[in-house]
Amino acid sequence: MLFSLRELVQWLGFATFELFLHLVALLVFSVLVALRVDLLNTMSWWLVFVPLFAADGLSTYFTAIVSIRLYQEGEERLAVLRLLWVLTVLSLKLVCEVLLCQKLAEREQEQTRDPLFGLIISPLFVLLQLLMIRACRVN
Amino acid sequence: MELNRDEIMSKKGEKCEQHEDLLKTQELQIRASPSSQSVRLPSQDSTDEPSQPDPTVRPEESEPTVSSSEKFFSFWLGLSYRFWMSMSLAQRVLLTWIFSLIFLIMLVLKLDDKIHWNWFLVFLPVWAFDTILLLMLIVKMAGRCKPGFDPRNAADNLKKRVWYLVAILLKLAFSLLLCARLEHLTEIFLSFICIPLWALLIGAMVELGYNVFHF
Repeated sequence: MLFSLRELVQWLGFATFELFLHLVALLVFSVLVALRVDLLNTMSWWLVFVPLFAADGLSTYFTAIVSIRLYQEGEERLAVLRLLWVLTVLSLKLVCEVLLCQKLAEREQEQTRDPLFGLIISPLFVLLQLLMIRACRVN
Repeated sequence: MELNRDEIMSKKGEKCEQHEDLLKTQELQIRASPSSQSVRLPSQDSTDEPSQPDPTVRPEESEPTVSSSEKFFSFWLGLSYRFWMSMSLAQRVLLTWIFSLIFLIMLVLKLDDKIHWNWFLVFLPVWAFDTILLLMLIVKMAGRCKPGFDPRNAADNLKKRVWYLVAILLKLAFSLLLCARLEHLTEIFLSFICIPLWALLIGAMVELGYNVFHF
């Protein structure tokens, strides 16, 4: 809409397949969240977050394979850059998810204010800055 | 990699030139049009007598007759069309970035009970962003009525635009319902609230697949 697919792939540094993977994960995750809130109030939050973790794992695996292939074909610089970028983004996303999940799981048991949502969202702030820098470079 | 980028850049350049030409012709027509009707369809343009263009008279400086608002509107349309079409990737990224940053900050403050605003107010950046996207889409769709519009791929383009419109509306519906639920205005199931979101996600996946297999 605002961006074409090609621009998105260039900007985010993810392959189309990975974008698809994350979309599927998001869909399954939203279904699970709705189920958890409406029907199954005893389900663990860690179970709800499984699709997101799985997507991160699969995406890492996919990136590793692509980077190894690129390395073998003599594109060392591209391979290393891609691996570093994707791992950074995925680890920031994973940290945010784990913290959020922990917060939700702990809040059920005792009324704790720790960790604050500010801390949970902070990886996303870092990610936003990184994306901005990358957008300038791509352009 | 480099070659690809060059290709993209040159294609972009061509597109920009085309749009600039379109805009120039449109602007001339705005200035040249008689005061009675300033918004015209391209098919009517060829039959009309061309009047003398007067570059010194600007549309917003004309006397306050009935047509001045129309003139102003079409001038504004041309301007905004130029603005949206000429936005580079960095500018669009900046737009998205600013709105997501403000939204995230407000969300964090609200969740940590630092501010006690209404949820609808917290979602203000989302509403603003969606409004901008909608306006952009409408302006682009209005671009179809321009003189010299290329009818090739038009049907395909229209389908895409309609899907984008539906997608924005779905997103709006989801966030509105979510806000209503968070404000305890309604107590409907979260599953019902998520239905627009699911439709949106499935649509996005279909579009992604379509893009992969058709280009």
